[in-house]
Amino acid sequence: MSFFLSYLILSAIFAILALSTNLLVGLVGIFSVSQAAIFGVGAYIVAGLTMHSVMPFLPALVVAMAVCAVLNVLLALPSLRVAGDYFVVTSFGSQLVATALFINLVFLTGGASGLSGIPAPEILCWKAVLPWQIAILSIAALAFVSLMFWLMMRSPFGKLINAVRLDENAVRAAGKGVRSTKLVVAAISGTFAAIAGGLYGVHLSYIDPVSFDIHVSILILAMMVFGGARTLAGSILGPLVLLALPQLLNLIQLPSTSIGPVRQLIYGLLLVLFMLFRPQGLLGKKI
Amino acid sequence: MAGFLLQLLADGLVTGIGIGLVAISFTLYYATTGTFHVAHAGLYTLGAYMAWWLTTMSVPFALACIAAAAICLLAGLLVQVLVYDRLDRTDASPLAKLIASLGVLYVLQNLVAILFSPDLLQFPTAWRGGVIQLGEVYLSYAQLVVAGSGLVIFAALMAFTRLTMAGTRIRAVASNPFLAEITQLRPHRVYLMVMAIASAIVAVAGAAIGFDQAIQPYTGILVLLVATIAVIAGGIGSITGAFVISIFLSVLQNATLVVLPGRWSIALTFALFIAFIVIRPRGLFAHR
Amino acid sequence: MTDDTHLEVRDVDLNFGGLKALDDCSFTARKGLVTCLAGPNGAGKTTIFNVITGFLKPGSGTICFRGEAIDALSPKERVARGIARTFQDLRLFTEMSVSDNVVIYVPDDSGSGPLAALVRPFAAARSLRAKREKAVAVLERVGLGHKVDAPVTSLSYGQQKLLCIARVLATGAEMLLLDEPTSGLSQSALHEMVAAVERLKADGHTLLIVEHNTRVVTRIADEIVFLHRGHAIRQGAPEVILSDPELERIYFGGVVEPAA
Repeated sequence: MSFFLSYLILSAIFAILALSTNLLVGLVGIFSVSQAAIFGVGAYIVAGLTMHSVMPFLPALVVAMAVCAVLNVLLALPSLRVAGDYFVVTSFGSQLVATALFINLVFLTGGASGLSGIPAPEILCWKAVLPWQIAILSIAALAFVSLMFWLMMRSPFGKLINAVRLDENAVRAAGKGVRSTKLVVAAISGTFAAIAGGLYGVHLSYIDPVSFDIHVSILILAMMVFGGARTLAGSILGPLVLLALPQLLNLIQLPSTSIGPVRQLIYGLLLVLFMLFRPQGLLGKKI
Repeated sequence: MAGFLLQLLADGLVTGIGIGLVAISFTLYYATTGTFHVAHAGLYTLGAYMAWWLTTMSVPFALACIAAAAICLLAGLLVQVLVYDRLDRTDASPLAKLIASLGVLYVLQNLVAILFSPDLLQFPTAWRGGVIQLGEVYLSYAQLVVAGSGLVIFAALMAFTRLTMAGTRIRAVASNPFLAEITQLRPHRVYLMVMAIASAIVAVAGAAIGFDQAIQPYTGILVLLVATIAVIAGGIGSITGAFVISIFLSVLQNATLVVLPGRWSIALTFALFIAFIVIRPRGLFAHR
Repeated sequence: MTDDTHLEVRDVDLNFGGLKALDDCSFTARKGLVTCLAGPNGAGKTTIFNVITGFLKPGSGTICFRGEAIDALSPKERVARGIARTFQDLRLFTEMSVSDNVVIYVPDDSGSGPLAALVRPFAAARSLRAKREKAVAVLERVGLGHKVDAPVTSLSYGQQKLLCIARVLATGAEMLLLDEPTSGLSQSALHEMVAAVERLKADGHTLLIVEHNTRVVTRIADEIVFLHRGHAIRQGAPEVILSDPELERIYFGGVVEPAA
């Protein structure tokens, strides 16, 4: 597959993930490091359903969206129930437990070896087999998700989400629901991650637990922080730049064992430095 | 069978004391400053690697631990001054601080992975493996180091916070940061103090546990997860609670090894935590 | 309790750690009237506000609105019932514009929810337009019509306080609880605020106001409830309360007050 097409497809997939994180972390203000876990659940559901010919791609995606919506709502519940930072613990915990589940529930996920032979998506009569077809599918999905994001931002509900982030008690005094707002956003965020998961599976025809571990969550977070929170442009720029990073690193002679750590070091640096010096990212609003 | 179970419990007790050190240092910092300092796991890792590195240069283990504690104390102060204090001054949101802390964690973890190795490493110290026998239970010298240092540090921290002026200041700031600010208790000085103490303690924990088991760049977060569960279940601000619950969780995890494979341990602990926050979110030893 | 009692606070107790913030607190607010909550600092005025509006749960006691107990209702449900409040520390959405601050407080219609946002965008747009129109109307009523699209941060303190009034007005609630609306205001801002409050009363709202300024109280209050150490020790007409030497003695922690 042409490198450029692969980069384009992955950028679209991660832009969808960045938008998912943007909703939860950027807009509502709930800390989350479990985006990759939901991404993974979506991927495994779509892969599993299509591989065993239970249903075609789109219905499988809808199932995944529903499951991931519910899952994300459950993960968001601790951030409502008690004050304090318990939800930080549950976010880390759920991501780490999810990875353990992906590795150990072999009969469902193929274990550490993963699932291979994920079939090409068939939508009505069109089968997206060739890379450029997958690229079109991914970009169409990104366009759809972007539209949803944009519509939400300019609606009364969008204003409410912003208000919840700014001052929950003032929102309660307005007669509006803080809890329900957060849960709805968590649900929508989950559906976006599911879409990204389904696409990821058909792009690579193979998925494994490593693709959905906590380091990926950090990468997605770094993309959102770098590109900027609460804007569409930020969630598209972030992935475009950070996915190009490995290529740039290849230009430097690094020992092979250090490549991964160097990348993660850069993500970590991005997170700290941007919070310190540019919390709005390149194209976003202040976190 | 009883001997086997007893061994598991003893091992769990030792591990629990080690995690207890992580927990008491975390609760000291968190209760005083209100910052959920996930980078604490990074200092744990740094401590382990600094101690390891020094022992590979033939520094005696005890000295290596002390040096590692000193290094992490300084590293912690740097984080406090350069990151947290700065973010406080710019009125950053708690979310921004969490993200920054996460970034620091990733920087620290990956720095050691790059400078040393991303793979498992073990302390080269010769006497590590030596074993003593207590009844039906075998404990390695390394385990004794963990247990010994853990209990000593726990006692010392309790004494410090209860009996010294500095400790009293810390407790005052922890119980009411706002009041502390306006009555000139100078919370930021206190924050530096607790960061220094917490970082030194967690470095020793990293070195000791690493000495007993092995060191890896990315397992710090797993240890911190269990520790923070203990902190919350024990009641934030309760050093005893954090320590006791850490031991309880580890012993429980080990006891269930009889029926549940080790790779599910984290899931079990987490499930317990979820049950706990649903039923009794304020903690078992909460005194606030 | 008579027919025109709008709000009844009955035997409310509240403990904060070892401190008794509210001690068998009981009083009533009558429909269409302005009731002022007076008393020295720390008497529990904001605390009882928090209890009435559902932000704090009392240890014991009951709050009745229009004859029905509302103790089980959450803050947002109480707003829907008809009780809205301002905050002493304002709690404006500082990153939003003046009109957006009010829009948040306008009750929802069918186009306001998340589903409408995604699948009925035109209904959502209509909802937003309608809310904004309501917001502009309310802002004009309180005298902020010229600042509709300004950022909140560009408002003077007095204008920010008027914005708080606009917000509660926008909820459509009959009973409005105002927490120290005139505190910290200059002479002219105070005049504007009092005028705004009088307009609220003229519109038929029931008002419960925490107010330290005795000149303001004299001007607008129909009744005064005097709170001391969490207990309502006296309730009655302003002339009676304000001329009571014992209350004056209790109250004198001294507040310098500009003329109303």
